[in-house]
Amino acid sequence: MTAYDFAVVGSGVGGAAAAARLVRRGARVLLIEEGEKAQPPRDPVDALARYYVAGGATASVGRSLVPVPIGRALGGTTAINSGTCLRPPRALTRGWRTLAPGFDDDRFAEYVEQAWTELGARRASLETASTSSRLFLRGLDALGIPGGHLLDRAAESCSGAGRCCFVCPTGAKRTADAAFLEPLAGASGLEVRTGCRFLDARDVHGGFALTLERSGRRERARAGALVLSAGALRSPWHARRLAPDRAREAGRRLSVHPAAKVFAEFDAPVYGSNGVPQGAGLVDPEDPAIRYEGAFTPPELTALTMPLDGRALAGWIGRYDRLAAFGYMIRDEARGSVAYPVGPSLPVLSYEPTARDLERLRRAMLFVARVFFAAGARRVLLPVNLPANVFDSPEALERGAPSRLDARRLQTMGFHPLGTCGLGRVVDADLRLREGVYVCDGSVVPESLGVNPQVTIAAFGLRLADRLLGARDAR
Amino acid sequence: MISLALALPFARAYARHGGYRLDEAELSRVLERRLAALPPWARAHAAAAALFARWLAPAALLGRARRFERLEDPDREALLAALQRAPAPLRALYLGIKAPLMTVCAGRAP
Repeated sequence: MTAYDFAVVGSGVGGAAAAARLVRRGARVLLIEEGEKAQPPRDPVDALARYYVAGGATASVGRSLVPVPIGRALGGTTAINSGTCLRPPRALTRGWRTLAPGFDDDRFAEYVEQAWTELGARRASLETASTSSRLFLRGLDALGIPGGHLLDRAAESCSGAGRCCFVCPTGAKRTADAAFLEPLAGASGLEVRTGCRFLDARDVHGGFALTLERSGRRERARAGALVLSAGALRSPWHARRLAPDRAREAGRRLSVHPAAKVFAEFDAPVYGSNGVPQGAGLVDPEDPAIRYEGAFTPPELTALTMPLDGRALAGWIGRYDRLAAFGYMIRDEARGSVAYPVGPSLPVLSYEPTARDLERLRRAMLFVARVFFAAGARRVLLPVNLPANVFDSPEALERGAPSRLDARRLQTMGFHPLGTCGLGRVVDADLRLREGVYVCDGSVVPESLGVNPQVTIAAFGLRLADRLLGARDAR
Repeated sequence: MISLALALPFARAYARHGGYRLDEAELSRVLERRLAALPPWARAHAAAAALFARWLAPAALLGRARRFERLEDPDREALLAALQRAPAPLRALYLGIKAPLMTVCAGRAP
């Protein structure tokens, strides 16, 4: 049985960053990934089936229905994310010193910059920005609202194919595997097993005996230490089994950044699915917990995210070429949980936005609608399941838009599950769960960030690798 | 395939109601392909959703003791609107058939 210094479960941005740095500094690493290397699919629906956990059907079903799509591929959710790069707010990370004694946020900021560089974050170009994004920026200008900007993305040579969330067809998006693993292709210290599921780890002298499953057959390996990077919805399962004394806490404090988008119809063709869907953004001028970011999906999925059905839906989809959309997400106050009544493959999420979350979502929805009208939209569709969710003028919007949001009426999604093995609560400042076991993915981010988290999670990965090697060298 | 047998009558009526530009042979062929690509649990979800949408929803949401495809036009539109505004668990159930159906219909809208 091959022995490794470290086994990393999951190749999302946290696991990939940690594994790569460990290998570069001389360690032998086994990286275990349940998914396969993502290849450009036949169509977006094929991408959902092959590279999204449960075909994209992971969701919290309570008063609200909140889908939480996560990736299942080499690179984890970075294979199907928008590639947006944002640094964590220093005002938040400074507070993590209190949550986890020993956490140094100044030092963490250095790792954030390293992650930024290794992901190749670059400012998106206006040439590749979608028409949706340009219309939103135009609307901001018309209203005299400053601050609209192009976003930084891990996609240096992006040509604007607009399929970021369905596997980049050109390879321009720097997924976790492209940024961290591909440069190590052929490196003797790294073994990557895709299509391989981590089942269990048993304490043995000198580390762990791992049980894996690939193509229906059991495999075994040994590792000196274990890094769980299976994602915020899966790592708690493993954490509970490996550290039963932390079982009560692992899986709680889930945040998701609830998000939605407003559709707008214009007289002239928009072709909203061309160009970078998430190329532009804005922080709400009055509430920094609200962030506006571009969003657009192919028609099959646009039809599912519209709060319409029947002929009403067909009417909007029939004018798909004239539709623009822009999204928003909030730094949520709500905290949910993940449970596993039937095992780790079908996590059960429980998540309900708070009243303040709902008010922020309402304000954000109306803001985008107003901006689109200012850009010349003839009508807008709000993401609420109400009889009156279409408005054909700013005046009609002001008269008829809901004055408060009911969670049961939300048409929303959550793209960034975080917090379920939070720093200072489940893992310590060094991301240690227990002796020899560490966690490094979105689950360790201790609170809702309010920004796209891949840079933050990558920073945790780089930092963890340095910690692990420092501890090993010290022994 | 059981899920296709249960889904097809609903799919036909849905596509006809929405005015989507596809004939029945194409609808059947593409829907079968979409359903076949789903894992077993998702096919079961689609089957359950089709049963719900065709048989149970008209009674539960509209008070009409008729299958979906036999509803009058306004009732069909009202039912679909009601499904969209239904409580989250029913919406989640209904998505089991709406999702594969929209992959067939979207792009062929009137």
